[in-house]
Amino acid sequence: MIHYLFGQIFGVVFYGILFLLGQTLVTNTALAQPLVFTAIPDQDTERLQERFNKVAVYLQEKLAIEVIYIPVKTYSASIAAFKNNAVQLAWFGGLSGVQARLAVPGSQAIALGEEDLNFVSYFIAHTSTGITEAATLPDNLAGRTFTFGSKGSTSGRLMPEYFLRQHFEKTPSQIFRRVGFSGNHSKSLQLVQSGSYELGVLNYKVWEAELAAGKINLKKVRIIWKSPSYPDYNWSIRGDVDKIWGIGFLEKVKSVLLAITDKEILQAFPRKKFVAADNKLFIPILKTAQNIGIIRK
Amino acid sequence: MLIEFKNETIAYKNKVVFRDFSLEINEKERVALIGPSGAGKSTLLRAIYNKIAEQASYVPQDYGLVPQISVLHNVYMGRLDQHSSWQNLRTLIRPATEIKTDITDLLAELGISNMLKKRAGELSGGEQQRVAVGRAIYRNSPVMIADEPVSAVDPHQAHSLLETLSSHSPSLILSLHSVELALSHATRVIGLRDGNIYFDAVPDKISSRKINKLFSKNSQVNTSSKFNIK
Amino acid sequence: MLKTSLILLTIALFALLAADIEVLTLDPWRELGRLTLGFFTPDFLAVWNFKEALLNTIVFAFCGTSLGILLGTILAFKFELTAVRLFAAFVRSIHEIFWVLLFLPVFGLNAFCGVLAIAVPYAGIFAKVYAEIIQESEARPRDLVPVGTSGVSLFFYAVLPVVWNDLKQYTAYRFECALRSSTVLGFIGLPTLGFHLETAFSEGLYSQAGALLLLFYLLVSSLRWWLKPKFVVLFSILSWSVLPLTTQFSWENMIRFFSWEIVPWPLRRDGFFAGTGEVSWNLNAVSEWFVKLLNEEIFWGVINTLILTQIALVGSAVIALVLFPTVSQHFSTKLLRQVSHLQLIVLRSTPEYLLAYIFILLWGPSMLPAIIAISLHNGAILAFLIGRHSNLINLCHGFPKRRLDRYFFEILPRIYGSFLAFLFYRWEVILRESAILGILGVATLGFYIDSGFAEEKLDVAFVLLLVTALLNLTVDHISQRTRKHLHLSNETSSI
Repeated sequence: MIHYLFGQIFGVVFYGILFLLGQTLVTNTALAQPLVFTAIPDQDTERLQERFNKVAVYLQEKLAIEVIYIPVKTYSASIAAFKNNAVQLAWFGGLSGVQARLAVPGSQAIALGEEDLNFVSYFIAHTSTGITEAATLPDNLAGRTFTFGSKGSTSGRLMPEYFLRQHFEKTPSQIFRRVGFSGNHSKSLQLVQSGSYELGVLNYKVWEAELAAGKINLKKVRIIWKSPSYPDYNWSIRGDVDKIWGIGFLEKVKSVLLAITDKEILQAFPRKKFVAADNKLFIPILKTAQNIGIIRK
Repeated sequence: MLIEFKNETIAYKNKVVFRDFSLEINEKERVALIGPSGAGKSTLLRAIYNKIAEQASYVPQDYGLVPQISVLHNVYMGRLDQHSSWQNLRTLIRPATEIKTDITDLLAELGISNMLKKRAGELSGGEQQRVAVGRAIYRNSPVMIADEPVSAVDPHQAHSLLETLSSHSPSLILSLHSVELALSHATRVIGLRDGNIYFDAVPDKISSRKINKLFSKNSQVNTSSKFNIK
Repeated sequence: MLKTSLILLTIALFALLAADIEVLTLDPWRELGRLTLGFFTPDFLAVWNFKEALLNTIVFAFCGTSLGILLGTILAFKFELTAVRLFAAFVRSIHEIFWVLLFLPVFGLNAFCGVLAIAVPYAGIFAKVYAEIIQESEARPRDLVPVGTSGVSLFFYAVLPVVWNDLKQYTAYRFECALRSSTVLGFIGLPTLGFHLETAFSEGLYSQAGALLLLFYLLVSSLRWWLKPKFVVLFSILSWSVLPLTTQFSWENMIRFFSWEIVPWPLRRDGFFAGTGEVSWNLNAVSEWFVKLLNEEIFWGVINTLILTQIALVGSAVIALVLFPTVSQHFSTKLLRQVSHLQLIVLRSTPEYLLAYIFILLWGPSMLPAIIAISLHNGAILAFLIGRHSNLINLCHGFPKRRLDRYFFEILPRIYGSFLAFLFYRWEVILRESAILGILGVATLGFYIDSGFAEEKLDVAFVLLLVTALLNLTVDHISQRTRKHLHLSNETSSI
C-alpha cells in the first residue's frame, strides 16, 4: 500500500515537473523567426559556446532581430542544417563551406578571418617517435599511426591529406600503419599527446590557443612540419535571407561581421579581424577536394 | 431437415475421424451423443456447428471464454454479430441498461446472478461453464450445440442446467458424459464409437446391454466411463 | 548443439586472428583512474544545466515510441502480407543512429529527426512482435465468436483483452530501450543526455559524466514507478505538445533527397556541373562506380563487421556462461545474487555505444574496445536471462556437492538449449551494434557510412546502408534456420 502511494506521489510530482519544463520550452519557441546560425564543431564545445554566444549577442544588437547560435556535434550536421534552412548563417571550414554552398545555390561566403586567407596545418608527433621538425614532410612518418581531425575538416584532413599524397604519392592508409579520425583538432592534440597516436595533424590556430592555455606538454608532443598556406574558415550565408528579412539584409550581415572590432570577440576565434570574402576565393579548396576525391568530379 | 451428412469424411487436426459418414437431424429434435472418450463426439459436434454456424449457438468443452473481460461481456459476445461495431465498442466501455438487465436475468436463471462484473478468469470451473452456457443462450439462435455442457457442475445442478438449456432452444444437439442424463433429457440418443454410429434410437429403445457394449467392449475404455453407466 | 557451438567458436578464433585488436594507447590505464575518480565524485551541481537534455531524452523516447506503436500496430494488422513483413524487417535492421544520419539531410538535425529515428525502426519491431503475440495467443475465443461478427468487434472482444498484458509488458520494455536509444542519439548531436555525455567524456570532465550517467540510471530504474499505463496517454500528448518542432517540414528537401542526392554520382555528374540538376542515364559508369564501391568499401566493411560480430557473439556467450552462476540460486548466496544482479542491470542498461565510447577512450579505436563493449552488454543480458531460467530448475536430491560438477553435469546441460536460443536471438542485435560502432572509428560498415555522410556522398552512404540492412536480414535468416534446425524454443523473441 505504502509502495503504491509512493508510486502515485512520485508519478504526480514527476509529471508536474515535466509539464512546467515543457511550458518554458513552448513559450521559448513561439516567437517570430530569429536568425539562426551554427558553426562546425572543430574544437572543444566549451570554447565554441563561449565564442559564438558572444557573436550572437553582438549580431542581435547590430541587426536588431533575435539571433540564436545552435551547437552541432558533426561537420555534416552543420552542412545539413545550412542546406535545410535550419540555419541561415554558418562559420564553416574551407571544405565544409564549399560543400554547403554547392548544396545551396545562391549562398555566399561573405567574410573570413585575416589569418584564414593564409591558413596552415601543423603536423605533430609524440616525442617518443624521435621525429623532429623539418622543412619538408619527414620520410620516416611511414608505417606509424596517424590521426586526422574530423573527416570533413579542411586543416585537419583535406589539406594534410593532399600534402601527404603529394609527398608520398600514396594514400594515407598506404603510408601509415593506422589512420584515425579523432573528430576535432583539440582531440587530435590530446590523442597524440597521450600517445594513442604517434602522429597527427591540426589547425595551427588551435595549437597556438592550446599552447597559450597551457594545455600542451612540449616534452610529449612537438611540431614536425608546418604546411604551406591555403584559404580556410569563413562565414557563409544563404542567398535567400533577403526574402525573409528584407532586401539588403545579406549585405548588412556582411558589413556587421566585417565591422567587429571588439577584442573579446576576435580573441575568442582567435582572429585579428574579419575581411571580405567571396566564393571564388575557395576554388583552390574545391579543386583539392576533387583531387583527392572528397568532392567528386 | 436441419442437418444432413451424406457419405462424408470428417477430420480433426488432419486426422480422419469419420469416414463415409451419414447422419440426418431434424428440427426440434433433442439429440444426445454418448460414447467412450475418443469416440469422436467433439469432432462431430464441431462439424455440425460448422454446417449451420449462422443459426446455431455453441458451447465448447473448454468454454472458450475470454478470461480478461467481465462475465457480462463474455455473455454479450454471443450477440456480437447482431450489433454494429460501434454498439459493440460502446458496450465494451459502458453497457446499455437493457443489455445489463437481460444478462442479469439470464445469469440468475443459471444460478450465478452475482457474477456480472467479475472477470471470467476469476471464476471456478463450474461457474465458467455456466457463463459459456449463458453466452450460447444469449445468442438466441434456433439450434443449440453443446459439448459436455454440464461436466463441471454437480449432478443435481446438471439436471436444472440442462432444463434451462433446452427451454431456450427448440433444437438441441449435445454430447454428454453421463448416460443417465442423456437418456432422461434427449429425444434421440446416438452412441458413437471409433468414428462409427453404434446405435441411434429413442431412449426407450436403448437397452442397458447395448450401452454396456458401447463402453466396455473396447479394451481401451477407461474405468470412469464404466462407472457412469450404473 | 555441441557441433554448432564448436563451429561458432572456431569461426570466432579465426576471426580473432584476422581482427585488429591492438591496444593503441601508450598508457591504457591512465584515463581509467581519472574516470573512476570522476564517477565517485559526481558533479550534481552541473545536473541542473542538463534539465532540458533530460526532458528531451524522455520526450524523444515517448514521441518515438508512441509513433512507433501507432505505425507498428497498423503494420501488425497486415503482417501476413509478405511486403509488410519485408518492410518491417528492413526498417528494424537499420540502427537508430543510422536512421538519424539518413534523416539528417532531409529534415535537418532537429527534434523531428530524432523522433523519426526512434519511431521508424521501432515500428518494424512492434509490427513483428505484436503480430507474433497475437498469433501465439489463445485462439479459442476468436474461433467461437459468432459468424458474421465485424473485424473490429472481434479484435476488441476476443483478441485485444487476451493479448493486452503481453503487449503492455513488451511495450514497457521497449520504452526502456527507447530511453537508451534517445540518450545515445545525443552522441551524434541531438539535444539529449548523450550530447552532454559525449562532451563530458571527450573533454575529460569525468565528474560531470559521472553525474550524467547516474541521472541516466536513475531515469531507467525509476521507470516502474512513473511509467503507469493510465498516465501513458496523457504523457504522450504532453510529450508531443512540448516537442520543439521549430523547423518547418520541407517537401523540397524531401524531393531533393530522394530524386537527387541518393542517385548514384555518375548519373548526376553532368547535371551537377552544368547546374541543371538533370539525371543522365549512363549505366556503364554506374556499374563501374558500384564495382569500385564494392572493392574499396563494401567488401572491407562487411568483412570487418562480420569479424567483429562473430568474436563478440562468442565473447557474449563466454561472459554469460561465466556470470550466470552469480545470479543462480544453485551456486550463489542470496547476498551475492543481489549484488551481481545490480551489476548486470547496470551493464545491460548502459548502451553498448556508450561502453564502446569509453573503452575507445581508454584503448584507442581498434576492434578490442568494441569487442569488449558488445560482449559485456550482451553477456550481461544473456547471463540475466539464463540465470533466471536456471532458477526454475529443481535439482533432485543427490545432486553433485561440488559446484564445478553441479555446473557441468546438472545445470549447464539443462539450460544449454535455451541459452543457445537466446544467443541466436542476440546474433542479429550484435551485428547491428558491430556495424554502428564503425562511427567511433572501428573499420566496420558504420565507418564507411559515416564517411559517406561526412563527405556529402549520400548515394554511397545509402548503398552502404542497404548493404548493412541486407547483411542483417541474412544473419537473421540464418539464425532462424539454425534455431529451427536445432529445435530451439521459439518463445524468446521478445527479448
